[in-house]
Amino acid sequence: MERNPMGRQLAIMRQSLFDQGYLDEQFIQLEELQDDANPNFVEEVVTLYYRDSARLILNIEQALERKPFDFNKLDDYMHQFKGSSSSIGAKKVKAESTLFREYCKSGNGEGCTRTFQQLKKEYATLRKKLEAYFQMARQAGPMETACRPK
Amino acid sequence: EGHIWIESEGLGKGCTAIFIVKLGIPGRLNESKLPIMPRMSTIHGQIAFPGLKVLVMDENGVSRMVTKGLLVHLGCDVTMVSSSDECLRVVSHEHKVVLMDVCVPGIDGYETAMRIHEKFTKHHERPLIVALTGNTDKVINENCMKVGMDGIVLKPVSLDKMRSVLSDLLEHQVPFEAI
Repeated sequence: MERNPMGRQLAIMRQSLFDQGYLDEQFIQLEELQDDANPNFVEEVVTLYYRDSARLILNIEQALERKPFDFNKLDDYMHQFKGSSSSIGAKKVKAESTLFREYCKSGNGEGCTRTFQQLKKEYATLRKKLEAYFQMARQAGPMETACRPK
Repeated sequence: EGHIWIESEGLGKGCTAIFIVKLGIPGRLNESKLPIMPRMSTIHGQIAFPGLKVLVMDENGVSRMVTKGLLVHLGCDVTMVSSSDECLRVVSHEHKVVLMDVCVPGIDGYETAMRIHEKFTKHHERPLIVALTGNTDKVINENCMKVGMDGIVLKPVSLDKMRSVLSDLLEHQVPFEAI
């Protein structure tokens, strides 16, 4: 009997996102909310995340161009960004956000700038990986979303 | 809870047995202490809250969407607001629970809680107020108690945690004591 080989590929891809530390258990929580009534919930939340957070990234970028740094404002923006990242289980992005906030609290401008560059890298990498994952999920068919029990 | 299945490419090609099981995770001991939301209790079977009217106040769009997804999954009838003003405008005696995010700068969850108390002078009409917070330091706990919140939940909230929080809140309908 032929089974969907893409299903296994998808499961492997998904597992590697966790194993390599890109996602944490919050992502699993999102998956648990996906059902027949909300069949694309995870992808919808992730799409909203990248849309919403683009604005915050821009705000932070602009704030980092103004000297001297307004660390309170930077921290505020990053607090929001961290909250969103946390909501989708973006583990590495969240870690960089935490570090950035620590640099804000200690008034370390260079630390902020450096960390922000790293954060943007992680943010972009995660986006690519999730896009590939969702694309494969679509190809694998509705029955094979992460091989989760129903 | 779990699922087990077998995959095979055909006769004589062998097969793979795959299973997914749910394992326990040791609880985080420094989770909210006061007011106490009980630790994730074992709830057998699926508990849902059909039609339970919940008002969610959260400035953050992504976290708002996730919280809504959680509650809808549990059968709740969810209203979302993104500001304190909107919350006070919209809240009614029909809402059984108000979930408010208290860790986002710019939203004064504490004041909102106090104003809700003022708005509903009859205790039984007042919705239960639960704080959603990203950290549970002592100051936040104390402030929540002072302004008359009925409970605190640490974000991010899992489905099981939300289920047990709502279940316990509705069962007891009184503020929690510190254990």
